[in-house]
Amino acid sequence: MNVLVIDDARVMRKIISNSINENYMGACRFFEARDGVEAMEMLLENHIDIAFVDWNMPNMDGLEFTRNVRDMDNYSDLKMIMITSEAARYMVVEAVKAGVTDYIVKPVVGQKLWGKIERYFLPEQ
Amino acid sequence: MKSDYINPFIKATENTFMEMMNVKVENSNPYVYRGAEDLYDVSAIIGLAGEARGLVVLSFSRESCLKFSEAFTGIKSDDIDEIVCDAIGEIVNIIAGNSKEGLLQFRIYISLPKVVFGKLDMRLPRNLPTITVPYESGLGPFNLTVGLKEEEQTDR
Repeated sequence: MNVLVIDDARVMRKIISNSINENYMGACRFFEARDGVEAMEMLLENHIDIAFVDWNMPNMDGLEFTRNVRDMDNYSDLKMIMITSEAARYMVVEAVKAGVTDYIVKPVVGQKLWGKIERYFLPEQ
Repeated sequence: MKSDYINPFIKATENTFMEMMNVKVENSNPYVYRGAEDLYDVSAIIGLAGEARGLVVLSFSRESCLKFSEAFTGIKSDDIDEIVCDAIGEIVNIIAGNSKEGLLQFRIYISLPKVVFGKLDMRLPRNLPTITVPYESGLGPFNLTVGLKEEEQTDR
């Protein structure tokens, strides 16, 4: 399973990747992007199965990235899980309207990530 | 500042440190922000805009900053490097974002965090109510400073 982790904070990218790898050791290949622009390039260069997307990022934020991806024919149904500090309900509504598959409010712990992967995409054994 | 405004930030601070780092933090009495003396060696700042505006600042001594960063990331740093700056920037980001759940009367947008060094003379708008909440923890002290003001509605 190819996992794309998009966050402007390198430590968050590492925390998310390491948390997922802890439960799915060897089953996932990780790709990282610092913002929506880099993430779009990753999608074009690689086949991505699931993306974990931060909201507040420079250049292209998570919301704009989500809308752009939903317009792509080959990624219109990409599983996109928004991981963000934005806890307010109106923000969740906005993200869902933009097209995210699911939403995790930071602080993020491993169980939350594993639960989303198991819910939407079981890795190949 | 109304206590209703500061309480979501206090709650978010305590939850974030406990959930993310398993660190219990305890605050003492908040007071009106005094200026540079309320800042330690390293501070992470995030701006708030929209129907209410202001800022959130987390300020750490160098020693406590390194300890909190290691607790957050699992990575030990000997100096305030990119990882440490990312870590405290992310912590203030989580606190600011989580606080919005207790401030639903305002539609607030948060900026990208910035990390600054030293006891800055932060020149805040004169009419921005700003409160400092001192914290103690097993990893050292830090201050949470919050400025928040409802945007005035203008008649058209």
